[in-house]
Amino acid sequence: MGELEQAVMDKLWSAASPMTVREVHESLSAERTLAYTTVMTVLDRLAKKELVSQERDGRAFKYAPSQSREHLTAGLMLDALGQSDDPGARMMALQHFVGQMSPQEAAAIRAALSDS
Amino acid sequence: MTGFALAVLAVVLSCLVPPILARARWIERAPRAGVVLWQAVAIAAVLAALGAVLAAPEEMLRTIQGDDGVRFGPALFIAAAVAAVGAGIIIVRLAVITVRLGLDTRRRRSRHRELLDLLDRPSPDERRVHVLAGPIPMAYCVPGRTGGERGRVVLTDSTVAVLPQPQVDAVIEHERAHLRARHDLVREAFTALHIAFPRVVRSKAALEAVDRLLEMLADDAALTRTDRTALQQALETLSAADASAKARRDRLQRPTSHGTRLALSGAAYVMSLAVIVLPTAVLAAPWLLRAFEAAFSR
Repeated sequence: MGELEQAVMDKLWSAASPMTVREVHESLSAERTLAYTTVMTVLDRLAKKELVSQERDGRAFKYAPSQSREHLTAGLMLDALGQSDDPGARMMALQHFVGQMSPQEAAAIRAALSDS
Repeated sequence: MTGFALAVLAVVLSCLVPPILARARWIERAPRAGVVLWQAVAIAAVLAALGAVLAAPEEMLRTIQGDDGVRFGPALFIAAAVAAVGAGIIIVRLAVITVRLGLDTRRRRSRHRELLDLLDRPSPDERRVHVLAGPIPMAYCVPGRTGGERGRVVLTDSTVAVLPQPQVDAVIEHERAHLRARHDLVREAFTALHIAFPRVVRSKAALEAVDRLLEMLADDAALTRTDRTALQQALETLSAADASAKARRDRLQRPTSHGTRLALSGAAYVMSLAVIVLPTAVLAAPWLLRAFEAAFSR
């Protein structure tokens, strides 16, 4: 099931806009045999885990990732560094991270910050 | 005086000893025994605090009523109750903190593993390595639900890009060493004690010193499965600016002889035993004897 969740998230991340269950199912069916209800179950589970957001669009639900892949990745790294959800600890982890950076890395971060 | 002496000992062990012990370089040559010594200091601090809380009420009663005045009676019962409640608070607080920390840590780790699986499937081999997109070379590990073998190792793709394969392997072995030895449990125990100590006597030096020793332990364990030079060079590249990494690099360059490590370990284990037993025995025993005599000399 975990592999399926990853496949579904990949589709949502690559999509330009929110997708319906049917659209996700069609996209995945190109690569594997999958029941429509299976896709629905996976999307529902992902929504419960707050990884995708669910929006009603007319009669159908549309699903989109709740965070971009980059945002999720950055969140994981901060978690690994700070090992805490408390903002004070995250700030300390960030500062510690910054303190460990080489000049080249600091330049890269500065460039990334000015882009965002 | 015993209660007061034990209280002073608790303060000394919890916030005066750690910064001094953290500067002792010899401990790094026997890291496993060093971690045990740090654990002993922390446990001895808790024992001293418990002893102080148990001894103080009866001693205060003695100063109020005089040495002969301490007999079985309501005053003694109240003093005993205060002592019991005080000790109970210390123990319950430590238990609650440990349980909450344990649940919180496991919940967050479970979520972390779930997200890792979404972002990148683990490598099919038994090393379970995830590679995430990231501009800064980084490596860390996430313990599994049970046992270290089901833990994950995470690298950023810039790590893989910037290090040659043997060095990548060395980094992976270092992280797997952490997982196999369940260093996460050791850190958890220390973190629980750290949080349990009142803020006024808390010392970050202990946590940081133990972290450093655990990194060195993982280095030692990784050396049994990977090349020393590869590990050194990987460390050089990944954490050039970090002072504690420099201590690790220097240590890798000057390995300790087996005999020296044995001797230093022995010394550390003896110190651990002494720090736990001596205060308890020397300070608590006379008080226990006196309290016993006083209670039964009607």
